[in-house]
Amino acid sequence: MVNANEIEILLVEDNPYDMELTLRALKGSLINNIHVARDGEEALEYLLPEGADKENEPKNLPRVILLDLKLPKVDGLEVLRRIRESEKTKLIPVVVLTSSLEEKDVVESYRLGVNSYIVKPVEFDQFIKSVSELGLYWLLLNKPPF
Amino acid sequence: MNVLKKISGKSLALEGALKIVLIYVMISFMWVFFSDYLVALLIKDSRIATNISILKGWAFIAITSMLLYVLIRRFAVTKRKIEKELFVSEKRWEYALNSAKDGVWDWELNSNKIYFSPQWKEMIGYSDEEFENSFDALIRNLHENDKERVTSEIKKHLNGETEQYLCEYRMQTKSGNYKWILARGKITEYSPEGIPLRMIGTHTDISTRRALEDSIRQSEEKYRLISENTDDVIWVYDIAIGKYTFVSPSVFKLKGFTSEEVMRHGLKESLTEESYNEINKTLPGRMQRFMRGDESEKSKLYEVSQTCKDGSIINTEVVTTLIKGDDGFVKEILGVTRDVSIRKQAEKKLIESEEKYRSIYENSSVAIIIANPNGVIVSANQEAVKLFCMTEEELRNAGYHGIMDDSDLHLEELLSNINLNGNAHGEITFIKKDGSKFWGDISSNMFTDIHGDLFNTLIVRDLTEQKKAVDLLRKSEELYRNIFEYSPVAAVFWDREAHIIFWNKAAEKVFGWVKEEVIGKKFTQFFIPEEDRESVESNVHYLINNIPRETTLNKNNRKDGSNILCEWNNTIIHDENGNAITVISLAKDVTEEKRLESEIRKSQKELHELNEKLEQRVIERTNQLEIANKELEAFSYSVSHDLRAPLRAIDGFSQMAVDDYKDVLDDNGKRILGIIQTSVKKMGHLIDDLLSLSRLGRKAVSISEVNLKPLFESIYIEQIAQYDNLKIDFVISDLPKANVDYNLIKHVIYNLISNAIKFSSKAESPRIEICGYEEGDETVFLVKDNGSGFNMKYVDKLFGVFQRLHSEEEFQGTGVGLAIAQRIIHKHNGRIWAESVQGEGAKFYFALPRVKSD
Repeated sequence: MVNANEIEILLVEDNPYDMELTLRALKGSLINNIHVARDGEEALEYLLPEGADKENEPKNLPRVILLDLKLPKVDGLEVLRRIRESEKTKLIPVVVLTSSLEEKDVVESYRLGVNSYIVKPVEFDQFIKSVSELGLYWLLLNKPPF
Repeated sequence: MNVLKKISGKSLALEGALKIVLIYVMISFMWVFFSDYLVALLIKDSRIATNISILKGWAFIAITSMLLYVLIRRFAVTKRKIEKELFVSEKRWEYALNSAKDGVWDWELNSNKIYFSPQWKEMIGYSDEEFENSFDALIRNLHENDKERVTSEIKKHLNGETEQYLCEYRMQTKSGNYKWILARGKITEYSPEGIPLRMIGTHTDISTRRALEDSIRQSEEKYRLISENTDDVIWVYDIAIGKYTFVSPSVFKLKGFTSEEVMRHGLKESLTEESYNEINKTLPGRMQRFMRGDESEKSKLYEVSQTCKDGSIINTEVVTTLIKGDDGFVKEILGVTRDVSIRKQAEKKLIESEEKYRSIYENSSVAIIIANPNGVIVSANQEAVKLFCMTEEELRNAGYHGIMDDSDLHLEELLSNINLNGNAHGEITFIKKDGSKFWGDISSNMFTDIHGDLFNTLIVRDLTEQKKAVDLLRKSEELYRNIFEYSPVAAVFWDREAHIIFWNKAAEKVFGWVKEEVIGKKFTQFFIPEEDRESVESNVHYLINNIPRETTLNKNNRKDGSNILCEWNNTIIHDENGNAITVISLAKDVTEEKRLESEIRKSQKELHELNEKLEQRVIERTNQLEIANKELEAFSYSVSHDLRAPLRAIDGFSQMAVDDYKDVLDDNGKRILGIIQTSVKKMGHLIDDLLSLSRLGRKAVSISEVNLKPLFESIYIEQIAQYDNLKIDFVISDLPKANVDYNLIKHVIYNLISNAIKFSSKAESPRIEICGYEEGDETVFLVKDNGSGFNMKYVDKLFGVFQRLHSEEEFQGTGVGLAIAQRIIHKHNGRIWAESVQGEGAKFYFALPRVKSD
C-alpha cells in the first residue's frame, strides 16, 4: 500500500495500458509515490473529498497531477476546472497528458490554467522518454509554490 | 281763492283770540291776587269779609264779561275791515287771472300740499274734482322729456338762484295730447330762518304760440335747405330800398362772395357794366307793363354776365319774378340765378371731342365707312380709300353694292341685319375698284349724330392674310389627319358628346368596325365592354376633362365579340377658351403581348419556385453537410485519441516484450515484433496526417501579404538537414508577394520542398529550382526538380488522399501531403497542378489570386 502522505504524483488515467506504460516510465525514473485515479470522479474524490470537513483533508496533496482528458464520468477538462476553482488545490501543478492533438482541447486546457500540455507519443521509446522527463522535471527541477 | 281767504282769516282769528285770552288771564290773575288781599286789609270783621268775598265773585264775573265783550267786539270790527280789504284785492286777482285764462297753483312746501285752481285743471281738460291736488299729480302729467328740467328749475328757485321760477313744459291733457304750458312762480313766504314755506304761481297755455313757432321754424328750415342745397342762387331784391333782402348761400359757390357781402352790395356791383345797363334799360318798362296787368311780364329770363370776387366774369341765366306789394306796385324781385358757363364749356368740349374722333377716324388703320340707313355711303376714311383703291368720291358713288360681292351668299343676310338694327358682324367677299375680290370681316354699328340723324359705321378688315393662315392650318390638319389615318396605331377622335369624329384604318383592323359604321356615333356603343358601358356613358363629360394622360390598359370589345387588351394614350384638344372639345385616343392591341408577358411571368414564377425549392434543398443539404461535418469532427477527434491509444499499447507492449523477454525470443520472434512496431509507427504517421487534413477543412483562412522567399529557404534548410550527405543545387529567384495565410501556406511549401528533395535525392546531381511570376490575375509559383518525376497518366491521382505513385520502398510517404497542399491552395481560391516527364523531374505549380497593387 502506498502511504497517502508520501504521494508525489496523482495520475488520472482510464486506459489501463496507458496507465501501465506511464507507471513503467515513471518507475523507471525511480518515482514510486503515485496514486492512480481511474476516472474524473475518483480524482476529484481523492483531491476534494465531498462532505469531509477541513480537519480530515489529506494533508499531503500530490506535487503534480498528470491528467488525461478523455475520461469516463467526469472528463479531464472538468476535473481541471474544479481543481483550479478550489482554494485548496488551485496551486497544484497540473500536466495534461493526452492523446488529443485537438487545438480546442489545448486552448481550453490553458484557459483553465493547466501548467503543461503533453501529447502522448505513439512510439513507445518516445513515450517512455517523455513521461520520465516530465516526472523528473516536475518533481526535481520545478520549484513548487508549497 | 277760498284757501287764501281761509288761511288769512284763520291766522287773524288765532291772533285775536290769543290776545283776548291773554288779557282775560291777566285781569283774572290780578283780580284773584289783589282782591282778597284788599278785602283783608280793608275789612277786619270776618263775617263782613265773607259776604264781601261772595259779592267779589259776582263782581269778577260782571267785570270780566264786560271786558271780554269789549275785546271781542273790537277784534270782530278789525277782522271785518281786513277781510273786506282782502276780498277786494282777491277779486282783482281773480279777475286778472280769469281774463288771462291762467291757472293758479299754491304750494305749501312744508306739508307739500299744493292747490291747483279749477282753471289750472281746466287748462288740461280736467274738472276740479278729477285732478288730485298734489305735486306728484303734476309731475305725473308732465311730458317725459320735461320732468327733469322742471324739477331742476324749481330747485334752482328754491335755492335762491333765480329771481322767479319760469319754465315752459308740456303737460298731458285728459284726452292724452300734450299742451305747452308756461309756468311762472315765486316764493311768497319764508320761515324766520329763511327757509321757503310757500310758493305761488300760474300756468299759461302757450300751445298755440309754440305750434306757430314750430311751423315757422320748419318752413324756414325747408327754404333754407332748398336754397342752400341748390347750385342755383335764389335771391330777393327790394325795389324800394334798392338792395337784396335775401341771397342764398350758394352764391359763394357761384361768385366767391358770401350772402352778406352780396346783400351789402347793390345790383350794380353784382353785374358787369354791360349787363347792368341792359337791365336798367328794360326793367322799368317791364315793371310798368306788369303793373298795368300784363301777367306775361311777371317772369322773365335774362342772360347776364356777372363779376366774381376773383375778378373773373361768369355767364348766368337769371329767372326773375316780379312781386307786387299791397299797394299794387312792384315791391320785390325774386330771382334764381344759374351758371351757364359750364354748359357753354361742355358744348365747346363736345366740339373738341368731335374733332378728336374725326382725327381717329381719319387716321385709323382700319377702313371705316359711314353710310346712311339707305346704304348710301356718306364718308370713308383714308384706310377705306386705300383698301378699295377708290377715292372717297368714288366710294360715295359706289354704295354698298359697288364694294360688296353680290354673289356672296351671306351678303343679303348681312345687309338686312345692318338695315334692320344697325348692328351686324360677318365675313363676306368685297370688290375692289379693279374688280378683284377679297375676303373681309365687316362690323356695323348704328349711331345718331347731334342732329338726331341715323348713320351706320362700317368697319372693314381684309382677311386675305388670315385666310391664307387658315388654309395653311387646313393643310397642316390634313397632314396630321393623313398621319393618323395611316398610322399603325388605332386612332379614335371623339367630341364632347362622345361621338366618334375620326376612325382610322388601324382602328378598323384592331376593333373590326369600319369607319362608316362608327362615325357620328357614340364610342361607348363599340369597343367598350358591356359591363363598363353604362359607367363610361354617364361619365363622358367628366372623362373629357379628366381623361388619364398616362398610358392605361383597358379591356375592349371587337366587332366579332372577342375581347382584346389595349393600351390607350389620350390627348385632349382645347378650344381658345380652354374647354376640352376633342379627345384623341390612341389604342394599341397588346393582347398577344400581354399573354406572352403573363406566360413569361408564369414561367418566371415557376422558375422562381423551383429556385426556392432548390435553395431550400441547398439549405437542407448544407445542414446535413454541417451535421456530417460535425460528425466527422467528432470522428476525427476520437481517431486522434482513441486510435492512438491502442497503437501506443501495441508499440509499448511489443517493446516491453522485446525488453523483458529478449532471452526467450528467438530472432524470428524479434523480427516479428519489429514488424509490428514499424507498422504501428507508420499508422501513427497516417493518423497524424489525416488529422491535419481534416483540421484544415475547418480552419478559417486569414490572409496577409507575404514574401514567400524566406519561407521557401528556411523550409529547405530544415528539410535538407534530415538527409546526411545529400548535396542539392538549390536555386531560388526573387518571388512576387502573395496574399496567403502564413501558417497554411507553410504546409504547402513544406510538402512541395520535402517532395522535391525526396524525389530528387536519388538523382545524379539533384537540383531544385524555385521561381514565381505574375500571369493575368494570378501569381504563380513553381517548384521544379530533376528527380524521378511521374507518369502524366496518373496526374489525376496525384492530389488524391492516400494516392501514391511510388512504392514505399522507393520513397517513403503517406500519400496525404499533396492532398493537404491542394486543399490549402483551394482555400486560397487558387489552383495547384503538376507536370512531369517520368525520369526527368517534376514541376509543381501553384497559383494564387494576384495581390492588388494600389
